[in-house]
Order: sequence, then C-alpha cells, then structure tokens
Amino acid sequence: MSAPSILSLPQLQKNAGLTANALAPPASLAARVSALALLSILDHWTHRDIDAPRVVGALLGTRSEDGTVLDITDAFPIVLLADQELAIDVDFANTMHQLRRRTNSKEVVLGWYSTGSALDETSPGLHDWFEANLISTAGSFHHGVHLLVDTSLASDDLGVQGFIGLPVTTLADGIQGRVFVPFPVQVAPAEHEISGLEAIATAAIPRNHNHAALPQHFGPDDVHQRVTKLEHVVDASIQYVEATLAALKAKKAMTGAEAATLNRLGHTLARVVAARTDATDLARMDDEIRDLKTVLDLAAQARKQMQVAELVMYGAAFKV
Amino acid sequence: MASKNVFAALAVDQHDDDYLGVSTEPVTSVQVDALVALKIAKHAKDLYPAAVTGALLGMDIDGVLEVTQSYPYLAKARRGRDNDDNDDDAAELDEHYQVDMLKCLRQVNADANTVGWYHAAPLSHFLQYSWVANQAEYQTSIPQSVVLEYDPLASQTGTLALRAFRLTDAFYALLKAKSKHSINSEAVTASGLLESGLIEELPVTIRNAHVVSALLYSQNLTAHSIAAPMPGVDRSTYVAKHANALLETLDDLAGEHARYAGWHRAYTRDKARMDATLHRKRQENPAEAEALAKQLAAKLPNEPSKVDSLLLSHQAGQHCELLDAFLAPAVLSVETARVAVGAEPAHE
Repeated sequence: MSAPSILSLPQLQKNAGLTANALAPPASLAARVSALALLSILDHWTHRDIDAPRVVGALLGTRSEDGTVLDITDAFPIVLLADQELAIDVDFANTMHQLRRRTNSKEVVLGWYSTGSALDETSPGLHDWFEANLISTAGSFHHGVHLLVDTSLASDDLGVQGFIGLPVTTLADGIQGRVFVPFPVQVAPAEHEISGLEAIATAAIPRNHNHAALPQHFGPDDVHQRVTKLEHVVDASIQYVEATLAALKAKKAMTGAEAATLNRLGHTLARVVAARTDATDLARMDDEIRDLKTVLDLAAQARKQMQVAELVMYGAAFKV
Repeated sequence: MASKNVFAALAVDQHDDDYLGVSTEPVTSVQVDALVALKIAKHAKDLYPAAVTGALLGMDIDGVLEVTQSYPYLAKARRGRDNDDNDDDAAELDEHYQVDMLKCLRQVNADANTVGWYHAAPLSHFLQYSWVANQAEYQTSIPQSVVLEYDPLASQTGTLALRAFRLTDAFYALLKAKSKHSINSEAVTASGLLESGLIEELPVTIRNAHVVSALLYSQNLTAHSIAAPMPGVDRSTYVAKHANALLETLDDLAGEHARYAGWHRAYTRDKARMDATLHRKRQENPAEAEALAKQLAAKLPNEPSKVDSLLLSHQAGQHCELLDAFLAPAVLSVETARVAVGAEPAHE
C-alpha cells in the first residue's frame, strides 16, 4: 500500500516504527495572517464554481530569518480539476505563481489554503504537490504550512486553523504520509491595512448592510464619531472589569482564554494611561496649534494667489 | 414559507438584471469591494514611496461602477525606458502579463472586465500630464471608466483615503481635440474648463461580501475594536510634508508663469515689429501686404502649452483642500484634549 494516508498524532504515537526525527515539531512556529490573505481566500470561495465543495490556493508571504515566524501577507487561487488523480491544474498554478512573482519578488509561497472544516484524505496529496512545486524549501528546515478556513458558516465561528505538514514514514509497513501538526495562527491586520479595515468593519455593522460610504474629507462629524467610539470602548471595558470582579468575588474559576483577555486588557490600559495627555503637554500643544494655523494660513494665501493668477492668465489672456 | 418564495423570486430578478446590466447610464458612484481596497493598499505599501498603478475589474450597473477585482501593473522601473526598442519589448511583455492575468482571473470566475485603473501616490500628488493622458485613454476605450486614487500617507493618519475621479467632459474633449503643445490659453478659455474644472470626483462606497463581514465578527475585528490612528498622531510630520509639497508645486507653478511671461514679452516685441513692417508695407504696396502678414504671423513665437500650469494649479488646489480638511479637525482634537486635561482633577 503506497497511497498517501492521513494519520492522526495519537495514531502515530502508537505506531512503534515511526521515524523519530520526522516528527520533531518546530519548537516555536507561529504565523500571522494579514486581512488581505484572508479576504483573498474568501473572495475565491465567493466566486467558486456553483458545485465546488471547496477551493484551494497558495499562501504568499515572508519568513523570519530563523524560519519560525511566518508572515502570510497574500494568497492566490488555484484551479482544481474534478476528474483527475492529482486534482491541481498545474499550468494554471505555475502561470499564476509566475505572474505574482513579477509584481512582488520578495514574497514566496509559504504553503496552501483550503476551505472546509476538517482535513481530509486529499490533504496529504495536495500538500506533497505544493511542497514539491511551489513552496520554496531552499535553506534550512522549512516545511509548507496549511491554512484551513471554515467557510461553511455552520457554527458562529469562521475559524482559521494552521497546520504544518510533516512527512512521516512508518518503518513497520512503509506507509508514507503526512502528519498535520496544528500551530498557532494569529489573524493580525498589517499596519497599512488598518484604515481600510476600519471602513470594511463599518460596512460589516448589520444596519449598514455591507456598505460603507467613504467620507471624502475627514470633518468634525468624524471627530464626533470617533469620540463616541472611544466612549463605547471605555464603557465596554468598565462593564467587563465589573463583570470579572463579580465573578472573582463569587469565586468562579477563570478559563485560560478569559485570563488571556484580561491580561491583554490590563496591558492595553497601562499603555493608554502612560500615553495620557497631561498638563505638561499643553504648552507643546499650543505650539502645535500655532504651527497648524500658520500652515492653514499659508494654504489660504496660496489659494488666493492662484485665483488671481488664473484671472490674469485667462481673464486677460493674450488674444491674437 | 411564503417569505422564502419572495426571496427566491427576488434572487431570480437580480440575476436577470445582471445579464441586462450593460447600461449606458453615466456612472455617478463607485462601489469598491473590500478585497480591492486592501489589494491597492498593499501594492502601494510594497513599493512605497513610489507611485503604483494597476487595473480595476468589475462592471457598471445602473450608474454604479462596481469594482470587484484588481491586479497590479508592472512597475515602471523594470521597463527599459532608455530607447524605443526596449520600450516596445516592455510594452509587449506588459501586454502578455495583462492577457495572462485576465485569463487566469477569468478561470476563477472573477469579473474579467476592465472598468478603470488605480493610482497610488503619497500626498495625493497625482495631477500630472501622464495621469490625465492615461485617464483620457481609458475614457476613450471605456467611456464609464474611473481612476481610483489612493493616498498611503493620508491613510496612515486617519481614514482610508481612496477617491474616485474622472475627467470632466470639457477637459476630455479638449485633450482629445488637441495635442499637449497646442493647448493654449485661447483653447482653454473656449473649452469651458474654467466653469467645469479638470476632474470630477465620484463618491466611493466600500462593499463587503457577507462572508467577509462574518469573518470580521468571528475574528473580533469589529468597528469598535479596530483602532485606526486618530489624525493628529503624526500631525506635525504629515502637515510639514504637505506644506513642503505645496511649496514645491507653487515653485513649479511660478516657473510656468515665468515661461509664460517670457513668451508674452517676446511675442509683444515681435508683434510690434511686425505691425510696424506691415504698416510700412501697406503704404508702399497694399497688394502684397496680406501675403506678408500671413508670412510674418507664422514666424511669431507660439504660446507655450497651458496644460502643465493648469495641472499644477489644480494640484496646489488639491494640497490646499487636503490641508484644510485635515487641519480643521486636527485643531479641534487638540482643543478637545486641552479641555479633557483641564477637566482632570489635579493629582499632586
């Protein structure tokens, strides 16, 4: 039997003939996924063929020097063929890869994505293909990663799970396969994505029905909106702290996730307090206001001058 | 159950609309898919501070231009710009790249229909001849096309700076009718540009697929948890950069004015000389005077092109507008901070 098979970790551990070093899990592998990469995957899913049960594609990004931190910054789709053993449209995959490399040569293929709620029997085969053909494995220990995005919307969660696919061979019966070891994946919008994501999040508010008009200019209304938002955040924090205190008084046990959230909130609050404006900043702010007003004046002056210039040029333009 | 049927009927109707959707109605607003906004932002960031361009794909339905996909154009630096041979090669490569890209996108069911292009440059510095010429080309082949202008620097300081522009009909007609060098002040005045302006801005809306909204909620990236930096975080640097750019534009504009003034002087001098000659000629030999007048008029210096100075003054106008729009709320937020500090009880 030589077909690739998928094995769970306990199964492998039970199997005495397993080669030891193949399973050495990367000590501290972690990945950050940008909003763009996820939105590309979702867009691919939205535009899938009507009868396609899932879509797959490649993940683009960069690796840290020691190879333990992956920055998944982008993704591109790949076409699956229904009636062949290796389901990948190889021509399409290669063309797309080459096209992407021409506009950004720094990004390499780090792995592949698939939609769905669980790994299945095709995962090892696809993984083998990606690792052999697209994933740059030059250098040290680099195995391809796999991102599983659950787009079924069967639960309240649109989960994003990461796996690293390690090759395994069992000595006992020579089965070759892949073991997919989960590793932490953090959905972390990059800095340049924040302002865009804010507009997208505004569109996501249910009453906005997935649309958000972009303000042509940032005006006093927007300032008001932001202050309101800040108030909301402060209110929510106070509520959260009070609820937590009540729970502590009632001696309820705290789960790990809750503790982590609380910890994060604490750190954020400490940062906010440290960044607070106080009386000594006022003098600096006065200077700043003066500078700003000077520039505002300059802009107004420039405008007047230009209006005069236009008048002179066209109002008294030289007629032949 | 009844309501379900209504929805089914609606869905069918919408489907039909899609097929009939090729409209001739002028585009009045632009709807940009969330994915496209992020793609443009990333392209701009990858090559910052260079300006980048790319194609917009989608379709226009009842006056709304829906942009659902995009892809970057190749960077200009890679194209050999030294001689014509190279340029032809590069253009051919470019075309291959675009054809391949469109083919690929069609294969994954994207709207492979070009509806315009995007341009990203810091400080909204975009009003150059190449920009308007490019948009004029687009408006010739795709009458409904727009250009999305993204400002990576402004987007860092606050809200997403993604704006949609088209050339006004008057400016488009002028660019099509005359070459750059023959657009003089008379042509500008006659074209009606002074009333209609060079470019018109269209409102932009961001649109999410449902599953995108679902993802944001599932990953707790909601409107309340994403903290875009308040304008004012980097106020001084941002304003200084804008003020600098404004001054540079004004410098260039002054240069154009000097050129125009130089031409005007030379023209007045030659014209006076010509008039004197003609006056003499008319008295000596009126029959030959008309022919001589034509001959001499052809020798008068031509008026320099007006396009650059028009664009520069509009660019300066853009800077002023942006500074205005940025500064008023910035002053407001500093004032707000002052009130907040004043209201705080003293600790010491």
